[in-house]
Amino acid sequence: MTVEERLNVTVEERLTVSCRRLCKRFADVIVVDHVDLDIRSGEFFSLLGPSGCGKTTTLRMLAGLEQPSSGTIRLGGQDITHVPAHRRATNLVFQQGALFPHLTVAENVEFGLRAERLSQAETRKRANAMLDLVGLAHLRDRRPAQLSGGQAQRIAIARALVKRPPVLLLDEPLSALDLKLQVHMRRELKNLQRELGTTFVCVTHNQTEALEMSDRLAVMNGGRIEQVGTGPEIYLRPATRFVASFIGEANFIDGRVRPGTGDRVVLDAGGFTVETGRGDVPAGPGDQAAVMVRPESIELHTGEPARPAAPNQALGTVTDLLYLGNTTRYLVELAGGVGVTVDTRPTLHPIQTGTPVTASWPADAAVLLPAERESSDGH
Amino acid sequence: MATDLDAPGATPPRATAPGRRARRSRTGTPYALITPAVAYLLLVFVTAMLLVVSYSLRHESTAALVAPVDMSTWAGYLTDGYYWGVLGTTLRIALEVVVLTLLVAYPTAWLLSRMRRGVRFAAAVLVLFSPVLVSVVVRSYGWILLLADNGPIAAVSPVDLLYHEAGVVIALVHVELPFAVFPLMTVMAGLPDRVLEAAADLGAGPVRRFLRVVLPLTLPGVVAAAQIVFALSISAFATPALLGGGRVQVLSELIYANIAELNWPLAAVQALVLLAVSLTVLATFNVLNRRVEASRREGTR
Amino acid sequence: MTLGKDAMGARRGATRPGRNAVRAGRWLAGVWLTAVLGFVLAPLVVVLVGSFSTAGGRIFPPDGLTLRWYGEVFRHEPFRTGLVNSLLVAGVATALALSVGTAAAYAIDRYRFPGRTALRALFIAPLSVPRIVIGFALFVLIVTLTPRFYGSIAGVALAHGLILLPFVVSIVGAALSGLDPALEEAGRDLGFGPLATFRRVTLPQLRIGLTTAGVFAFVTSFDEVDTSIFLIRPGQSTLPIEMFLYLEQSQDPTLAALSAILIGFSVVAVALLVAVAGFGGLLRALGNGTRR
Repeated sequence: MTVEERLNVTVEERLTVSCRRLCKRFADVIVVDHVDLDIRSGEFFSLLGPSGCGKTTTLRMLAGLEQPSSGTIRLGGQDITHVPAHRRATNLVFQQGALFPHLTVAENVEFGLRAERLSQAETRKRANAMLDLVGLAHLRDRRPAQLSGGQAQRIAIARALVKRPPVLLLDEPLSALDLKLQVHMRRELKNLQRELGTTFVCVTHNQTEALEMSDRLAVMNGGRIEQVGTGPEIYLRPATRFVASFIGEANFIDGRVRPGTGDRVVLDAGGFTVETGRGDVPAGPGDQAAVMVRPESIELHTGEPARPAAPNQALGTVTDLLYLGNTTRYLVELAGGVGVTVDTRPTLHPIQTGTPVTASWPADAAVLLPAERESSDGH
Repeated sequence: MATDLDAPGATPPRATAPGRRARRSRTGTPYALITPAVAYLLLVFVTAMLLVVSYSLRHESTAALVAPVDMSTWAGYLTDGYYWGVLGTTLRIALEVVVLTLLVAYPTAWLLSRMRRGVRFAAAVLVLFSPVLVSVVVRSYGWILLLADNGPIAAVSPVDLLYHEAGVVIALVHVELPFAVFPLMTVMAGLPDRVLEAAADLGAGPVRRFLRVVLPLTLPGVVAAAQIVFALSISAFATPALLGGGRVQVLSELIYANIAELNWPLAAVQALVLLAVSLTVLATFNVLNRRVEASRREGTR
Repeated sequence: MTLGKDAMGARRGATRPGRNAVRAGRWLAGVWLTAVLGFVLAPLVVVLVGSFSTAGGRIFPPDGLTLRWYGEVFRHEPFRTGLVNSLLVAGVATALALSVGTAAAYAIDRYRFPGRTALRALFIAPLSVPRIVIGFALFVLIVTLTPRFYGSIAGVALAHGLILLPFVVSIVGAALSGLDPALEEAGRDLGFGPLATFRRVTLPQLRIGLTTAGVFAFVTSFDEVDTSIFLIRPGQSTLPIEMFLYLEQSQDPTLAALSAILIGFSVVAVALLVAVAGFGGLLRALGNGTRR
């Protein structure tokens, strides 16, 4: 399907970081549970998940700050599982920046180069170039305590990037900043990454941040990777119920699979039916299954449906109405008692509560999900 | 849709900051770091203490490392009224010092804790702490000059001071004062003004406010201060030796005197008695402190 | 909102004592603090003034002023050797306690390993033992096992180190726990091994804690009487012991002059600490040091 699969030979070379069956246990708690991860050279990759899902621990294992309990980590084809942090080529941007408070901004940026025993002139030159790149050369003699949150984070990034790592690791780099600055810094980080062509691996719990910055992302939950893909793949084709509900809003419709119909699946939801593609999900006739439909994929019409027996439409009643500015959100109870959220463009004359409506959605907006693992839904 | 995505309904922000991440090491690093200190304590401190115990089980005439165990020194000590008297004096002086020190330290700590953090506050704290950094001999010397029979205070004092218990107590209060003020100040500084204002707002007069609000809330500081002062007072040596002039005998002086007389077993017994009393006092105050904390927690429930 | 606050203030004002009572309270507080600070300073001031007294007997209040006792201090041979010995002992004991204690504090703060809590208790244990007992125990140890060391600088320093160790472990431990471990991780991530990271990242940030602990340890050892008195040999004594013995004999102003010099040293020590740690840092560090 993808270019990489067709050019199978080159895939290995293009992988920068690759983890196999990576596990981390603290005492008896499994924090990272058999993680397989392949990160391509030059991409912006994000590890996304709720707190405690193991994403930070995974990143720290890549940095060498945490020893894996089992599994392997390879960097550019070399096994680095047991290489200590200070001998790894990767560099990490810490959550709160972790700038050295006793050093000036310039000394912070030069710090990592001192370990490489470069000449004084070379060290100066590279540090200055890096400070120029993040636009903070005028602050070179300040102490970290005199920097704003955004400036401190830029210096932290500069301090790591000046080492010219093949992979830059970022641990919640924007979480300490206020929302407005976060939005600004996302674009800045993305531009920086594009400009340098360095592989970025970024840990975040913020879905918007991940979707906006990443070429691809992995959604983690309970120490496992739930899905890896591009932003649109994750959002439009979530692989699990957890992914669907973690990223954006999602409606779930449970039902029983009807017999027959080849690569199409028809789900009987009680008062209506859903027809959609099967995808990779194994669901035989009679099985319980669920589909996910995004709120903005559903359309509402007042009155009876044109073709009463057709799938992917249902009668219902508007139970509540929320005006959210750029959208109007309806809560609709469908036939059979299923409640869904519907987002529409706002109008001056919205449908009133209690009005009978027909809800419909395109067949490809309904995503069939595998039968539920109890543990995977933390929300 | 962007607003929906930003709404963190599905994702609470990280509750657990990974700020403090202690390394769990399977390597020997922590042991390597800790070995010198442990070796030092075990080889010097523990060995020395064991030797003291060993000597306490010998007799003056058999004071050697290898000698038959002999309880006669203990027996002699425990049945001699003189030694009990010295122990009594030691404890009485310590108790007097604790009470007086707390009486001086409590209001002082309160005033300091309510003071604006400025130059005057810094100066007051530095002055208060200064005795700690001045040799105990110098301080005792100053008190000898002040309390001497022909000195400025003796003329107006109703009791004999120098080379009497009163003099020893005054000098000890002076030495221990900072050790009492600091724990009290720490607790009091943590007591918000709001609590007092709330009490006043509810119509409590100053006396009631103090007895019902301030004192119970600062009791942990009082216990901590009393613990330190008591422990330091019962084991004080130089101050009672210099200001008591041989007339006021406390336990620590006896230990020293017995060394001079080469009666190590008796000195060892006295050292162990002093240690036991000291540890008992510390333990008692620890229990007291836990009680106070527990009752305070119940009170707020 | 503003209105409600004002109304409350007015009500509170009504239940409060009047303006005169407040003024009287403030006056009383001032008198009390002055009296307490006077009490604290009195013996030190008396010594300072007495050191200039012309009379050899009753030196306070002085009959006239002279500087000759300061000369006497340096002519008195035992004080000179005592000073040298005290400086040596304090230097060795401080270095010993700082190096051993910092390593232990680091291990306890930064690693989780079995026996950690017990060890922390062990390091603080000497604090619960009366110094006179430590002095006697060390005397017994040295005389029994290594008589050659009796009366040596090393023997006294070894005993002082025991007393200083709890201070160092708790002051440095407090300083360490206020340090973000991410800084050390950053040091390692940027290419420095554990030792280099400690030297370049951790050590500079422990500056305040180490200075406080160091000065405190040095002064404590320098002034120590209770343990030293068991461990010195006549003629090879420390300064406070020489002063103690001198004081038992006579009370002429030579001792006052020497005391004045030592008070001067203490002032310098405090000034040094305030310069390095700032007043707030000193207060925090001492808060940890005086706690048992």
